[in-house]
Amino acid sequence: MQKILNNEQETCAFAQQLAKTLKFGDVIALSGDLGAGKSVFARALMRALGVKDEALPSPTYAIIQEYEGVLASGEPCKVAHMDWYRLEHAEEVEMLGVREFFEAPWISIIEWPERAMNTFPASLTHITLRYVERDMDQRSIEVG
Amino acid sequence: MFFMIRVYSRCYALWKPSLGVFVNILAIESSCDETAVAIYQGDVHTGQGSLIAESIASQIDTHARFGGVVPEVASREHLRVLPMLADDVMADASLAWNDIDAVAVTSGPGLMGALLVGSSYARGLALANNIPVLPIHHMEGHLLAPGIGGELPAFPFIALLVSGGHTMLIRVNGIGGYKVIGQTLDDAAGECFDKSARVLGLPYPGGPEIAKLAVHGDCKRFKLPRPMLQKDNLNFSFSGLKTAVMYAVRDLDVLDDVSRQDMAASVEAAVGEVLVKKSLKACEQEDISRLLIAGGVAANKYLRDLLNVEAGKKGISVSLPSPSYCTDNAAMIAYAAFQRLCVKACFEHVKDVNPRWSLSGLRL
Repeated sequence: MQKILNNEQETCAFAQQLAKTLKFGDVIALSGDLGAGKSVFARALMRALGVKDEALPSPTYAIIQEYEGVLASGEPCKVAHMDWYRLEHAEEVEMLGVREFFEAPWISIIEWPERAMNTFPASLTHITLRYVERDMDQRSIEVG
Repeated sequence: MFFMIRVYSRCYALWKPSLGVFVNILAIESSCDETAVAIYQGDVHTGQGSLIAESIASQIDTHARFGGVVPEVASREHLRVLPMLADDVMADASLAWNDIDAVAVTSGPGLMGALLVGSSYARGLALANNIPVLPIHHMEGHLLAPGIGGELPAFPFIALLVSGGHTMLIRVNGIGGYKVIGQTLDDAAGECFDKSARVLGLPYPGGPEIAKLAVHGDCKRFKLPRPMLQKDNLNFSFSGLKTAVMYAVRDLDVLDDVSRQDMAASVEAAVGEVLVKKSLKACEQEDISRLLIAGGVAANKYLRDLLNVEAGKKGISVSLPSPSYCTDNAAMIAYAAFQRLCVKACFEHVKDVNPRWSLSGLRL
């Protein structure tokens, strides 16, 4: 499925729709170039999952940031926001112990998942964001 | 009754080492891409002391080709160089192991694997020499760094901690009394430099590269946003600034050397203005006229100069660590441990390491 998101509000609305479908152990992988809007989308999704922290700091240096959230069912969940940009290959991803995040009570949101696409469980939603020529706010989003 | 329970639980979680008056502290730092060992010697009664040896190995060259720190590579490198650095400082200081009274070690925040290497090495040294391990918070080290070979401002003061992983404003009430009054809601200032550098095709780390180019650039050529400046709080946000840099570069026909220089100057000016204005706002809000800046980005000359000028206009005194103590080092870890001993502060029981150790949670 491919769709155009015209602005940040539409991105947030899309994230809210996605959040309603999520269950324990789900993984959302976010692909896209620098500035394509991976972090904006990740933050919108965390908000939609009820993450209340005022600051949602970039995981680029820490690699994994953890939060408390709520599923659409009302059950409390934990949210892991990861950035694998600085990881080199799949073994390193494994060494971080990421598999524990692919089970209850976690929902994982992962930027730069290309570093280890084989690591993921079956319950993966892979989203690709692209910017659109000549419009700073518009993004194309592909869910596959 | 409630009060008593709180006091009890606090003392239960913390401990105080019993050491002599005159101490030699060996410190280890390995939280990110610098491996460092240092020895600080001082008198905890007078608070007088000095750094007597330090040795540092940077992995920046190793990581430059990846455009950032690679955690697993970092851990391996720390492990390889730590014993050599420790031998170096012991030889430089002309001390024997039984002269060392305690081992201070960065126990967080940082990369798990990297922290574990330093912490395990510290524990090994401590066990072999029957001396205590003093777990130190990396950011407390940065905060107190201007006191090494200089003097800390009187408490309370405002601190701007700014690096690749952090951007925060802190009200420092005393050793162990840190209240975070502002922070970045997304990217850190140093991260904005790193990512802008990537857009400009410059190597990691971005800050020094941008500073070098900015010297000859025109900071007014590109109109970049000053994020959060209009907001009536002390928070930062640098994610959008990086995106603005990306769009401005994309709109250029060619990214030539002059454009690179102008963009570097424009980014530096935008980041610098936001950091300085928010810091001065923090001083005003807390009614404090002493400001300290620390962390890797505090080595940026443009920021240091701008801060001195703008703070001077408002009668605010500025404390800056020497540039070599802005970036990660072990001297600041040894010094923080010494300061804690001087005021008879407690030390945390950090079980191994705590990659997400909160600064506000520290106690005297």
